[in-house]
Amino acid sequence: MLFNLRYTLRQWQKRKFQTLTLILCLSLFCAFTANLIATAPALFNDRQPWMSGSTPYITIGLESHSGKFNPIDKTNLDKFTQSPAIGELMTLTNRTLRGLKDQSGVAIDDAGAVYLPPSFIDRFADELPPVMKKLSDTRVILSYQYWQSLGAKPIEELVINASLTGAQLPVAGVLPKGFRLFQGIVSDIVLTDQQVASTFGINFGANKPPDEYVDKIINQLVESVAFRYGVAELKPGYEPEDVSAITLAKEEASDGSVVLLSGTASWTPKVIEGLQFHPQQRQRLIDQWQMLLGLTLGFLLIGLFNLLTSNFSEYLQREQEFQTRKAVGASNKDLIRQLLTENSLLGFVSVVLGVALSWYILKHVEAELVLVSLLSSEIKVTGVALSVLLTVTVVILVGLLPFLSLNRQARFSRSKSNGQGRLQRWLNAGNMTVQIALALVAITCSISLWLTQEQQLEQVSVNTDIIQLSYKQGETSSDPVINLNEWKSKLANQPFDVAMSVDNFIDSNPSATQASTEGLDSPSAIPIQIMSVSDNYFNVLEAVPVVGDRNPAEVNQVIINETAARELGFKQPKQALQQTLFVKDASSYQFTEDEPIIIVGVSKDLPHSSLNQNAQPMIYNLLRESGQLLREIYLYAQPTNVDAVVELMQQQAASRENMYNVNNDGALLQLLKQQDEEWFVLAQLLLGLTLLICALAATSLYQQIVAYVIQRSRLYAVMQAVGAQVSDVAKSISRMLATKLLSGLILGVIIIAAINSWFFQQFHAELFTVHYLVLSLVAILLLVLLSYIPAIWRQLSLPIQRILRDE
Amino acid sequence: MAEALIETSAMSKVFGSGKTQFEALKNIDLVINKGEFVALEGPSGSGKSTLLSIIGLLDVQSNGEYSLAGHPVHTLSAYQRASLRNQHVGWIFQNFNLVNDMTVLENVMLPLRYHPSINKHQYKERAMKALTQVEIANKADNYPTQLSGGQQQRVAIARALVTNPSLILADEPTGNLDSVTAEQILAVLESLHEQGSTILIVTHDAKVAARCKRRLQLRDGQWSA
Repeated sequence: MLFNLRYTLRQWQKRKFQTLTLILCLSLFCAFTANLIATAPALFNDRQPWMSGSTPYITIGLESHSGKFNPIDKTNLDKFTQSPAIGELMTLTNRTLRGLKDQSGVAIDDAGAVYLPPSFIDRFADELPPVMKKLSDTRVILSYQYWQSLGAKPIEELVINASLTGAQLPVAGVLPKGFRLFQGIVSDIVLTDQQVASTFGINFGANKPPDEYVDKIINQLVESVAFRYGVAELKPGYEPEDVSAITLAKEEASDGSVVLLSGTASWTPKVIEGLQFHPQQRQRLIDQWQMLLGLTLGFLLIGLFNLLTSNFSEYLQREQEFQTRKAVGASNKDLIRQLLTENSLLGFVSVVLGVALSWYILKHVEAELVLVSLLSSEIKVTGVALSVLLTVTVVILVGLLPFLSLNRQARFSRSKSNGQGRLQRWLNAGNMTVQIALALVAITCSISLWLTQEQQLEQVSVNTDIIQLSYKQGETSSDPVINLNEWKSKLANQPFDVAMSVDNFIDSNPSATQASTEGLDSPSAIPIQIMSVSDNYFNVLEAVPVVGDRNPAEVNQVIINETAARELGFKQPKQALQQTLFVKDASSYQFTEDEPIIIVGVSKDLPHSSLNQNAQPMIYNLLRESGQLLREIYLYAQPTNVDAVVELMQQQAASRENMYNVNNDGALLQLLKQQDEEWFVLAQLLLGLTLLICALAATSLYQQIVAYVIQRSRLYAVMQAVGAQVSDVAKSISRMLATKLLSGLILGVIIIAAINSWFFQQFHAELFTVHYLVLSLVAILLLVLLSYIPAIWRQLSLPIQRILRDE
Repeated sequence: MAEALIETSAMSKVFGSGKTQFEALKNIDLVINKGEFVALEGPSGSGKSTLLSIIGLLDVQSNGEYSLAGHPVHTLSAYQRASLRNQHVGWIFQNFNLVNDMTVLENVMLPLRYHPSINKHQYKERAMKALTQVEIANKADNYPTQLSGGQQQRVAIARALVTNPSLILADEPTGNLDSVTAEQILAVLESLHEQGSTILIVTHDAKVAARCKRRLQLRDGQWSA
């Protein structure tokens, strides 16, 4: 055994680069597989990983026109208790707790809080960690990570102060390391619902606002806590569809003063199977998961092709060794045992590296990839074991195939045949083609994804140097109402332009409603989002081009985006100008149903959600003092004016006893990059991996050319012996290569076209352009040359007489 | 009475089928007793290497019978033939067939690794003994590529000896060597014969054949008078 291992290492020594790249490829397959297996149950199960049993649960939320799953307010959730299909309705709530302080009054990080009803803990008592039983209406539980971020102090010393409500939250315990209560959301603090009811309070300080405002503030705070989802056990004999028969109550007429931005007017109730809690996040994660799965399968495919070709080539080169071993008494089993050792060692080293890599990915890529950071952050033993088993099995089986095939042809016997087995013929015919095709696809994908992201960023139709600043409600809330008129007049007095909006330029979550040019109840109405902006918004952001007016002056004038114009039925954006728009259920934006709205401008689509996603139809209306109870606004200014704007904002905050935080969120370029961070990370990842794929392809091509040449070395030697020039031999080899190169390129282009088509359907953008393809073709030709020259050199540098004598 | 080590009866070997069928050996009857030193002669294409491959269990006859050390070969599986080859046959090739990635010692130890009854603690001792026997023990840690042709053939002989086989088969053992080295190798083989080994040499060199005690002539796959 020891001898076999030593001998294997000697064989590796002879082809270090090839072995190294092969190990790297297989280890990446193992690492990614381990991570994919670890995250799969959380993504694809209809229940949380800690849940056992098969009792059907449902989650109730709201679905927007764009398919987004959102929390449901308490009033509407309560309606579901009428459904005979469900048992006890439990409400799960999540929100971000800001302005927290520790026991000594030092500010601590914001926390993602999850509120559970006591019935939930009782129901899952046997499945949840025992520490959950310590949760009570006076004490909270922390996640391990959050506890660590607080300095991992002894539990009894930990009390968290929620300065907004004045609540004191003593800590009862810490969840186990790596335990995630709900996949896809941050749950730093776990509280009971009773905690909200019993400790709720507002500290208004000295500047108590008028009573009517106090009521509104309290109402809004109560609602803001109630970002909740319903969870219930489905009674036997009922399906989730039976529950969705419940309809939402028509939203009560607003009194014109308090309407929540996330109103429910255009949302419909949605019941989904299982306890998923965050399906919208889940779908996003599934997209990433599938992309990584594709990458992983790519590693496997390329790794196996390389293993096959390199072993074929190697075993042919070791023909004499195998014959000798047989001559001295080795049976086929003995030879297989030796090769089993060699391939097992390859598999073993790959999986050891793979497990280390998977750990590295979890530890260091966590912050980069949402997929990893929001799902189970612990590598599961079963996942690793499965991945290791899969890698080693595949390596051993595939690694032995060339030997079995060659041995079947009696290649290692003295009475050997010079023919080729089916597998070898197939590999000779198809493998080089496939390798070239895969390398081309990898290079093109990498170049395209990288350049596409950068290019899309450059093509954003606003000035991305513009700085976004935010003015948000802070720790205390004696006066959470932002007086827009006051802001307007202050900004108007500045010697430069500053734009305002109530939503962040990116990641905006405006409410959606129905719009049509034909009438309020037109069946052709489309879902549309509304975003309130100042009249100089498009000027300051330098949004180009805008057809029509850039500065709507009247309250009933709006600008829509190109997508909205298209979906409203206008082939050309300018056709939408001066058209009347009917908008339903949008009183919170002071659109009244009897007052016509005129489209005065059509803007290019702005990337409010992602560079890689289709724009939503959008209405930009004038921001004005309304019933919207604003707790934050966004300002936009040229970089040169930012200091002055910040000073103005700080003055404003100071006049409100610093109840507001002034933040410089950064340039739009930076925010857009952050928004699509995972795409940029993926592009970087793919670029790095492409280098590996190219290295593998190069070694594989080299091995194949070498194997091809070895099989014909006598022919070439004879050719040279009878007077052929070196160039004649090179030409003969090149002819073979040219055919396979051409077929590989054709196959590659076909695959690229298919990927492009898929990408276009998904993201409505071309992934590849002819320009990228040409760049990739140049790269692939270089790659082939890099493989071809050493292989030819190897043949031509052998003394002819030695080849002739050896044969 | 001498004990037969090799016995063949009406043995033939056919390659290919149909129109391309070619009979390399035709009705070969042969008996070689233990301790014999036999030369197998014949021109190129006469079938002597094919016969040697069958006798050395690297190939199987198409028809007829063959038994080695009393074992009827045609009844044996490939595994059993490999085992029999390991324990009863020592091969010496014209081009030495040493494994270049193994040291001289490892090359000689190679047959021992496949031997079912030799303890692995004895490998080195036995290999060194065989190397000493052919006077190449001082090169034990070298690789084959660091040796001359004569030295490589000595290593190959040591490898053939190391399991104490009943039969040593040498396929043109001096074919790749100069006359001085060839003489040394023949001397080693003669010495082995004197120690009781049964040796069958394939050669078309009359001088080499003349050193053997018995000469067999093969022509077109048959014995010639």
